[in-house]
Amino acid sequence: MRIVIDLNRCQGYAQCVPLAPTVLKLNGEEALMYDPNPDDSLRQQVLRAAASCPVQAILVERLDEKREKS
Amino acid sequence: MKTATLVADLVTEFKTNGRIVIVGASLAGLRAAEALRDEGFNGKLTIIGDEKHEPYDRPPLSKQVLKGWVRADHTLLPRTRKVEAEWRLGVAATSLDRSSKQVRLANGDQVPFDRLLIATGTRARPWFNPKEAALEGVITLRTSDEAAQLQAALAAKPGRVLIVGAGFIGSEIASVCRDLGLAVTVAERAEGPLVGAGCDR
Repeated sequence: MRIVIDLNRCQGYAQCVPLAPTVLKLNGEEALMYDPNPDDSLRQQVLRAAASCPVQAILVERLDEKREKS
Repeated sequence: MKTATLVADLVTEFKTNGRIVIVGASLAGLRAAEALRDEGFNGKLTIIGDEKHEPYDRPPLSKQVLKGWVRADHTLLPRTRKVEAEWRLGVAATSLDRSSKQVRLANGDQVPFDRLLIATGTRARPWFNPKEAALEGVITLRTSDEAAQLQAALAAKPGRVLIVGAGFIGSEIASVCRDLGLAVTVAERAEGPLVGAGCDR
């Protein structure tokens, strides 16, 4: 799956980190680092993490259809 | 025919059969394509990008990728909708003929357009001497491929890393190097780090 975090919007609340600890990590006290293409099996965790963000900085791809390639 | 009707007809015609070309297949190009489809553009949409990769996110390249946590080819951008575009990836747009409304590509192909969006972004400023810039171990950081190259170079535990430029990217790389336990020297022409990025003191 694909996610992106708007780091201009992220304020380092870190509410998301414990909800998807293998996808989202704090580097130091407030800099967020994340895996932009985590495994699909983590989808539920990532969606909860995205919902928990007070500033809604996490965008999760929600396309049901297969992505077009080429 | 009233002017308003005429304009409405032209807009409808363009939205149905128009041709829009976007040069630049990164964040801006992708989001522009999605916005055009959201706004009802159903004509032909072509997206041209000089890199072979589909749109990917760049900020992680100087952070989690260099640290070795996330692979350089694992930062593909989420899509907000299908864009039904023709993707011309891995071939650069090299020139523009405004009179015949064509974009010329590096492989000689020509792509006709009614409207053109240039979303090529910025680029890293390479070392000024091309021969020296090509020396092993001299790397600029802008693309996913360069991030992969730099990550491998850092993972090989060099004795010292020299970073030219203490803007955002230079400072981030310095930070990652220290996290990796590497010795770093940062060269900067301004009085201090991040001056060009807007921090005066």
